[in-house]
Amino acid sequence: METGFPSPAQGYEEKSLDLNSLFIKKPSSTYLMEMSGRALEGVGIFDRDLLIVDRSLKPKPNSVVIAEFQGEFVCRVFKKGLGGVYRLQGQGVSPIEMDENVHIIAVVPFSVRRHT
Amino acid sequence: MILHVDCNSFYASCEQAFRPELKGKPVVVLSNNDGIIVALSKEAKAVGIKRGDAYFQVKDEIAAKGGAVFSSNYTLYADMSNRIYKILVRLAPSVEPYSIDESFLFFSPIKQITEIAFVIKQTIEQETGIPVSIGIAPTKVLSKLANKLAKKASGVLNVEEINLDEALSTYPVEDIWGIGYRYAIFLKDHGIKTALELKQYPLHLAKKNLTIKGFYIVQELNGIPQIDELKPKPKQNIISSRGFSRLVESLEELEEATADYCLEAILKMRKQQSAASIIGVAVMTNRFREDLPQYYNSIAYDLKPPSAFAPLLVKKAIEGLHMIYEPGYKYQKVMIHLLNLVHEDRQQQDFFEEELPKQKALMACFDKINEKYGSHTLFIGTQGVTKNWSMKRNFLSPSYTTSLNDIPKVK
Repeated sequence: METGFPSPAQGYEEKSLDLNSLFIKKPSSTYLMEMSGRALEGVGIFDRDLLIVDRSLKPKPNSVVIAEFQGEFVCRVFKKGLGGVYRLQGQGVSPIEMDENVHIIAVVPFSVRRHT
Repeated sequence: MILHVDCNSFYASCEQAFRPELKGKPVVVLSNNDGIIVALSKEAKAVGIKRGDAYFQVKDEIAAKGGAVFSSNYTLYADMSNRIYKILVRLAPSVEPYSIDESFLFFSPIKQITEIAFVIKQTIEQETGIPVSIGIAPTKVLSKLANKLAKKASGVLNVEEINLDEALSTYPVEDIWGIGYRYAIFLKDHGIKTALELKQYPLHLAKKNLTIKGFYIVQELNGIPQIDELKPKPKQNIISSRGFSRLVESLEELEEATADYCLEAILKMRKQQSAASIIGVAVMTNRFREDLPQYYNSIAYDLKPPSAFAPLLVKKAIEGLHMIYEPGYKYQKVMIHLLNLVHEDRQQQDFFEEELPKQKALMACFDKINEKYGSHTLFIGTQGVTKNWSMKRNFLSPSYTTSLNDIPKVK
């Protein structure tokens, strides 16, 4: 049996915002990593920041990317240089020219700052 | 058409995916207690290391080649397996997982199936870093076989694009899926040594001379599907037992191990919706240590009605342990047996058991919390917190994908 007045908000309900679905578009290809060092302070990524890493995304110019280089994971900005040559850039580190020894494995669509 | 997707050297590939410096280097993964090699990268195979080799036999060679040794990190492997399964579900109309690193995909017949397989392979490799190979065929047996051939080729092989009979003529019969060591000997006694000979074995003779399984395999080799979805049958008995990392003397430590193994067995049992009619506990010393006094004893209790309620089962197991424990021995193993499993609904035969619905609700909640927040979030006090006796895993890699403290660092 129904009692009382219907809620005036009835029909207007929407799902609350959910951080997981906002920042993790594809859970199966999304990983977390941690930034170590200051190479990306220029784009607002600081030491110990969390990186949301999506391996299904393709890099575009100016994307923040994760690459395998010399047996390590590095986080850099994917830049188109003069003459259309692509390279990976960061602050205070030498740029990495794109060749067969560099593999971009993922794009970083978001990063998270720790305030504690 | 059926696509059989198989991860190459799965455990080793999971480790390599998070350690780029190990790509192209020999990597091996050890069994529980770091005993023998259970998985190895292709680079490790190439230097002659084999499954079943002992760790100490190969450690120097691996170190010399810049490779690495790992303990089994099931948390990592299960998470990566899950990710691959989700990708497959996204890309294929129907997926049947077969093991932690293998699945069958079902497609209606389409021309571009080989191209689709390449897309699936590339997508998995891009999104997980795990290399896979894919066999394509009209039956499961042929798709598994095609996969073995694919590993030697470009990673994707469609039986309809090769001279199948020629490939089968050099394929040993014992390498066919479903044919065990004994069955291979039986077939060889019948003059069947290659997959081609088995394929061409006349069906009326196959029906007469082979087992029903053999008969199905002959048909599958001829492109006639016979093997349906392989649903694991609910087990009748569940046994949980592992050796300790060191010999254990104290009753308290044995109690912890008993409770821990008991919960592991209960979880498996509850997943298949069973309840146990009998619970047994056994303890034993290390029989290879001839210099030490030897002891073995076991005890079992009838459970009426059958139960899947962890507090009750753990209590019984601990009671049993107290009955059989003898001080002064160095114990190597505790075993928990849950026997004569019945479907959980059968528990309700007992009228007077008013507690049952409450027990069920509590256990469902217990399982859910541990599933969501990780096993051992909730545990039974007896399990203990330190677990000095637990499995030896000296070379365990970080849980890169499931623990915030363990995520990979980048520069």
